[in-house]
Amino acid sequence: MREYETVYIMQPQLTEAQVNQLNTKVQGFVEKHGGRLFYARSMGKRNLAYRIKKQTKGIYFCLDYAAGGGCVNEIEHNLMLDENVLRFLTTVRAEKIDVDARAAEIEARGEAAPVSEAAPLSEEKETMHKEAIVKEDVSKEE
Amino acid sequence: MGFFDRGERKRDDKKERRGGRDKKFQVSTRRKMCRFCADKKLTIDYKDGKLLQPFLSERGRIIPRRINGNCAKHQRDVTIAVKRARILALIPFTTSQNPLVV
Repeated sequence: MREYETVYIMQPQLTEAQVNQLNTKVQGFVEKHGGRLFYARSMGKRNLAYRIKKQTKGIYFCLDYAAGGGCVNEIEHNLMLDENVLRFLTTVRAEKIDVDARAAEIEARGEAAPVSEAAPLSEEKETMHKEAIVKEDVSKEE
Repeated sequence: MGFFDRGERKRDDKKERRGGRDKKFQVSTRRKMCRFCADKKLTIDYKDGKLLQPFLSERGRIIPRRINGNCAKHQRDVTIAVKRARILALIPFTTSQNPLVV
């Protein structure tokens, strides 16, 4: 078992319900393969540094989990087929991992709970700030 | 012969001048400390585009460590983080000729 981190970017025009649906679907694969999800957090709607599939913005989401390679394969396969996903990247965070110790460590940092709202305060602020900018942009365009 | 003479003289001139400059340089020079070694709490994270910004040139290229002062280990880490951040569109591969209207 390894610890992986997957970040994926979704289409900006998705509704909250669609985003949640996709997230629960992806998180379901971790459970299905007997992995353990450490945290799942939204990184908010951000401007992309360059255009991807003609989009200039994207909704970022980050998953941290311990699982076998088969789980990663399935997650990546599904993200690849999903048209609402602009891009994804999976990285290995640790080759060997003591699952319970890591879970406790993350809990101690206050980042636990596999809920999308469980983002740390500072990041939430940034997200809100960014969203405010996005809103401004929209109003300007109008 | 004349050609070579001139060449040698030029080299000599340079040597002298550089000698003088070197002395001045030694007084003012101070090895830049790797900021990740100085501050152990600072972690290199590819998800944090702002953190990586100081290691990029204006055009989005990675700055060599002889300039930014990183140690070899942390420069490697920064390089990997920058490349990952580029894939996730957090920082640009290069500044485009037709930049996005943001």
